[in-house]
Amino acid sequence: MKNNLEILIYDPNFNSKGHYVRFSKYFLKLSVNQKKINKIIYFGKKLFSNKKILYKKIKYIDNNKGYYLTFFEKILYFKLVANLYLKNILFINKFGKNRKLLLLSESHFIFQFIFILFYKYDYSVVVVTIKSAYSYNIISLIKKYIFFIFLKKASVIISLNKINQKKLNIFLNKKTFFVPERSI
Amino acid sequence: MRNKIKLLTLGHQDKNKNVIEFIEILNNDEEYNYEYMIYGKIEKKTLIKLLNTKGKNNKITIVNRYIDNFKFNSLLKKADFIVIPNSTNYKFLQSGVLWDCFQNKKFFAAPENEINKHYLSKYNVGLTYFKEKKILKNMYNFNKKKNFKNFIKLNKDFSFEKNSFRFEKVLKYL
Repeated sequence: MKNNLEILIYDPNFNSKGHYVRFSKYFLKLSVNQKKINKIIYFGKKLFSNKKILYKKIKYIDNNKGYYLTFFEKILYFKLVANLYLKNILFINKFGKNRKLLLLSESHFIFQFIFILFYKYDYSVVVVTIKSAYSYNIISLIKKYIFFIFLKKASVIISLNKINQKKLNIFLNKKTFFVPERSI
Repeated sequence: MRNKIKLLTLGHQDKNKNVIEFIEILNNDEEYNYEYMIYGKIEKKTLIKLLNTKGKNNKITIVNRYIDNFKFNSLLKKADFIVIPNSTNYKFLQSGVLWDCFQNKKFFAAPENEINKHYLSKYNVGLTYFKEKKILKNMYNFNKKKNFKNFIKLNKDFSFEKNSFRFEKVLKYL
């Protein structure tokens, strides 16, 4: 393990409301606290000041908004989301060489698909939900397959609870780690 | 008459979070005195269903409004149990409200799924519910004094230092 690790942190699900801010802050604080980590580039808005952290502004989108749209509105929203993620991933690519990217959520299949195609460097994922691993119909099977490839390619998988950790171990046939989503 | 139990559900409510099921359970449990407040932004269709299910039950209050941190914490303090509704998503992820309960030393009531059962079997800081179960009786019988010390155990297991150590182990594989 390198002692002067440089990491990139990005939460594709980030929006400025609710738990997303707290969640990003928490992982940033965990990272800042590590002696092995020398530098952190966080993609998103400034959350707190620390000499180890360099903030890079990036656009984010509230994925929940798409949930209540009609079918045709969803298609338009789909295009908007895909376009934004593509731009963001290409932007993060510029910083990825010799650095490790930590994604603070798996987001959804649109993000995962674009990410698999366009992100060139090493990455790890904090898995928030394993819903995509459970397929019910053909569309879900496609989502499941994308989810599987996306996680299989990642160097480290972190689960936020022990139940999902066990399930991910079986689903991916790969060791996953447990880091709770909050400190008390 | 026994003391009134104060129940609270917080946060965004939509079709995925089945708060209606919990109201149905309460509607069938007239024996006990309680007050149930649902506070948070509620999706339109869910709100209509919710109001219909509530009917004339004046023990239930619904406040359809976004909640800021200050209000969130003040409501949390007053409640005896935080009800985390039965969401299909919560089979696959843990509720953030669960961690709010851990942080604020509040007992919770949640449906029986693997994640909730995991925490309850280890720490016993709440109860699970399902349709056929009379939850209010169990809430009255729940030994809060005895189980309060379990929050200290939770504090130790999920302290920043412990989580930092867990994260450090992960870094070896990055």
